[in-house]
Amino acid sequence: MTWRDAIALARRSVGRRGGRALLTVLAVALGAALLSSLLIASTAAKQRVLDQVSEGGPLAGIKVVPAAPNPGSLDSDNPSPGAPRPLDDAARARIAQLDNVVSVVPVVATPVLIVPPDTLPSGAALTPRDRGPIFDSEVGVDLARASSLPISLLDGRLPIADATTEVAVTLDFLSRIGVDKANAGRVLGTELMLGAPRAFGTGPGRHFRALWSRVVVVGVVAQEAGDGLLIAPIALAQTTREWTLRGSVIDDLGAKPSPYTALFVVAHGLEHVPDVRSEIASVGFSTSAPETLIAQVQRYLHVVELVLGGIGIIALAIAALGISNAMLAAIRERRREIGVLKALGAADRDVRRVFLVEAGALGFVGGTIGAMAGYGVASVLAAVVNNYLASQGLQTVSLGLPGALLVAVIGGATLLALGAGILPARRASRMPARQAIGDD
Amino acid sequence: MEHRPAAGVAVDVRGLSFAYPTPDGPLTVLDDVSFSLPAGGVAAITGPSGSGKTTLLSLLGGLDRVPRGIVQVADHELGALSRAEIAAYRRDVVGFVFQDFGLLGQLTALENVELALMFGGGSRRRRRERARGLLSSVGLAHRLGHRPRALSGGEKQRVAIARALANEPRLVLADEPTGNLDAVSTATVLDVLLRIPTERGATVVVCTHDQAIAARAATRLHIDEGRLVVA
Repeated sequence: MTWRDAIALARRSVGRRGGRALLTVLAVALGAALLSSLLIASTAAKQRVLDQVSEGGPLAGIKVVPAAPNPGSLDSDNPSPGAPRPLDDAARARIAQLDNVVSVVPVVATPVLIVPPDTLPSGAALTPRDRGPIFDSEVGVDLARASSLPISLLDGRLPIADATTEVAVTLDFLSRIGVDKANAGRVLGTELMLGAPRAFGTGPGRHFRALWSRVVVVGVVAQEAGDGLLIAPIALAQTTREWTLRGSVIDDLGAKPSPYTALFVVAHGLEHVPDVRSEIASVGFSTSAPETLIAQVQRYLHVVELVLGGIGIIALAIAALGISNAMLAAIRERRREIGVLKALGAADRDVRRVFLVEAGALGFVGGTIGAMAGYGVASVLAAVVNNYLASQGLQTVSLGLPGALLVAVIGGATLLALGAGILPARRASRMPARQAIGDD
Repeated sequence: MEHRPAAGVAVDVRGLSFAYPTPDGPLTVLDDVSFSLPAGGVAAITGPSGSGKTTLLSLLGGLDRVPRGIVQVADHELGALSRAEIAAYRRDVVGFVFQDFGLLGQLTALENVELALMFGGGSRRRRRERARGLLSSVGLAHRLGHRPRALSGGEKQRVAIARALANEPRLVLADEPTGNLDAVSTATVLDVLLRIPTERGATVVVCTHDQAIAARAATRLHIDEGRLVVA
């Protein structure tokens, strides 16, 4: 008997006992739904927590600052830097060539005067905490490589990489202009006046002038790329900075002489972060990375995943027992049928095959329904959670379509069902033909 | 000493005994039974209920192991066959016709006949053609797509006979084939069964209570309390 014949026969047999098959499939589906929803939810939660810990950047991200390494705190996640040392293109090139370095993204922070409007685009009045222009920093980064930076988009979009009139603002900026983070979206489209300050003269005659430009707020972000209230395309920040640096006294304004305020380096996996940090230190720069914290969080989250996965597997195992029970009952009912198959010349393996196919089919159908239902449940949960997170001005959770996980759940349910069907199938195949046919 | 049946003998049974284990000890059902059946004939086994007729049929058909004695069917000594060989024997050498038809309710008449061909390989198309031909030969060409519940008793038994003939068996074993049928259906089914030796060359062994049926058989065996009374 071929597998195709066994499948055809099993399909008819399952169809004939539709009620029982439906109940068995539902039991498997429930177990699979529980398992998949727990795993999907825990995976999304894990990603969200790691995003939070890594401030939205890659887990293997390392921040290089324009300072020499401090030999006393090399192993610390956030060491105190040593003496200032300029981060220039030569240093950037050397770091980019180190082993296990995936990317190096420069960061430029420069002081700016920010003048918010009196009202938002919606017409709502602003009640800024600070009177007059806000003096803070603008952080310029290569926004084409924003995924390699600790920047999380909370609302709107990031500025276009080569734009000259677009910026994104941080939650701190919202706080400074008196906008609640739950209403972050309301600042989108707001026009800001940005002033690049320059000092003229020295001593008592020193005075300041600003080069003013107009920009539009296109997004709201949480970011740790640099200290500042605005995220802007790097070219815009560099232009601003060059104007400021041409002034007479720059230290008072906070514009550092280093060409780059920081470099953000991504290593080839969390396990390579210590080596890369060590190599960067040997190049001569101080680094910081939340590697220890991330590793600890990952360990805790793995335990949570194991517990949740265990609960789901127990549910699936109970469903498998249901399959086994249903199959044993079916064998008792179908004794005569088994006898007829044997009388017609079915070998033990033929009978075994029919029953295993039935068990596998129940597991596959139940697993598929359950995996889809689990994804649906997780999506509903994610929507509720996202609603709450958005109301708190926090980055939302993204489930995506965890194809590999769903396929694994379906495959697992099918394998478990096959396992549950082995004993009944073996019992059916070993049943003496005469006993199966019936007595005299 | 090795026993060899005479030429032209389809079934040769020597010293066959069979007992069921019970809490009170073995219950003997067949006791030292010996007989031979010629190839291509019809034999009837008669006897009261519980006399051992069905057990004898089961042993001839390989549904039970032969515990003592020799049962030789078409060059196969059943006692010497392995579990896999006995399955192949049931598939290739024997065709069964049961009193309650033994049709699978979830399959159509055509599929029930095809079922017997599934275990021997062959293409699906060829199996279907053969099943269709067999059902036509028993007068059921118009009932191919009907499930057993839509067939009369006589039609079900003719489907069962078509299925028994699917693998061109050399021995057809029919256990009370007309026990559940009315007179008209009995006549039709008997007609089909008794034509088998001449049309297909197979030996037919029928277990029956019905002396009228037994009278139409060339060989008659009567069993009473496990012993062959008339041979």
